[in-house]
Amino acid sequence: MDDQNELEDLIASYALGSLDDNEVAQVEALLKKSQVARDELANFQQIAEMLAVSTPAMEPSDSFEDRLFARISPVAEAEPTAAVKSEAANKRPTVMQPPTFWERVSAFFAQPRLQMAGGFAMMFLLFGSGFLMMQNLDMNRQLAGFENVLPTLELTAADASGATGLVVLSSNREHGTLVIDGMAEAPAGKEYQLWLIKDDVIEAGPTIPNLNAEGYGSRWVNSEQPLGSYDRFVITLEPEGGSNAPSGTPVLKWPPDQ
Amino acid sequence: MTKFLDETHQEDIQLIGRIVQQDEAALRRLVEKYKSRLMGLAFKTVYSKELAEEVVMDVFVRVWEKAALFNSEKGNLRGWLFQMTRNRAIDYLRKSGRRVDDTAVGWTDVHDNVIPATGDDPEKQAQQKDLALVVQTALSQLSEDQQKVIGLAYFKGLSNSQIANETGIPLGTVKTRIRRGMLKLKDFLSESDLARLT
Repeated sequence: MDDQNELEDLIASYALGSLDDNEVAQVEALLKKSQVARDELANFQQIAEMLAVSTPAMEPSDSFEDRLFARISPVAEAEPTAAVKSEAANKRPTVMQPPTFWERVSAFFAQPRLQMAGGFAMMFLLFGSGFLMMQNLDMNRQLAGFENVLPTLELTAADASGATGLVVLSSNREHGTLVIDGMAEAPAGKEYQLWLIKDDVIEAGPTIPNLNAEGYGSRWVNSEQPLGSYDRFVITLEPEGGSNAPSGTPVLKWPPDQ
Repeated sequence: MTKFLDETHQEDIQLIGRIVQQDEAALRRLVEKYKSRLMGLAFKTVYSKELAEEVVMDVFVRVWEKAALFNSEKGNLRGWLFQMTRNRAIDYLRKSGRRVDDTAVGWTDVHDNVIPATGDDPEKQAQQKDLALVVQTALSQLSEDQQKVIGLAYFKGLSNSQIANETGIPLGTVKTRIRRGMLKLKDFLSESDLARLT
């Protein structure tokens, strides 16, 4: 048997993926120069696919699709079960509008790591407020207004675009996350950028690249000063990578009357 | 049958096009259509329902993220899904560190256990089941030795050398059994059977 015949004998194994690397290289060299070899490979590949067909079907668990869609789209609403829908409806605060955006924000913060961070924050608040309650009723009165939720600042569109934004502050108001939705697609070479303004001093914030098809995106904001201490937030369109100073007109802003 | 295949193929092309556009409804349809078959294939390799679910979930996530990579000129969507499932399952099997002997499933244990995949109408289910039975009948024509080496190569991802080591069969004999077994399958399966996969 000559070398070519030996190689042809390996085509079946090639179709099954069971050759060693050096044999793969030899067979691929043969395939480049031999139409007969290519035809035989095509036949064997069909046979290999038939092997997959031969396996019995098996149903995954009931939660499979919920878990899958939660995984592929953690910020999009997966199709919930009736029970989950009912529970969500009961829990939805009346101030949340429009629903699609808020449900996305809610889903975003339902991520395990944020849940854990939120859990720690809540524990901190509970222990902290309990401790302060015992020591100082006046301080407790201040904390009562803080509520047991992460404080948020809602950015509104500077024009009639309908875009919305939300800055969710950490429990200590030091940092936060910017979430935007309904933004127009940034032109080529441009990105949206957040600006933080305090006492008329403008500080460059992060850019928000990779918005999805619905203009949704989010970004962690790590500011020089406590995020909750800024007077204003503005989002503008800037050259890709961000600017040192705003050059575009405001797209979103907080507070709305500024 | 041709009409059915054309419809299936056309639907797949439409679905993958919509998935490229991040249409979740299209992915839901694709999942409904193929989840059972991919589960069966993954289970055949990893021999654990939990792991098989992880494999199939990874595959659909990859479809969602990489649908644009699918090229209908290079093959059909089902073949692409099967290939990804098999590769991923073999990865899981290797990472699990389990010996192949612990996870080996003979061909004969599935012959009487063909369950039609859900998500299609009864006529399509019957056609799929029919195709699976044809393939299993073809497999039953092989000697046990041929079935074994082909199964270890395709489902367990073993190289010919590894099969030789696992089974104690000389390497040259492994290669010969694979080739002869595949040729026998090719002879048994008619052109029309093979055409069902295109």
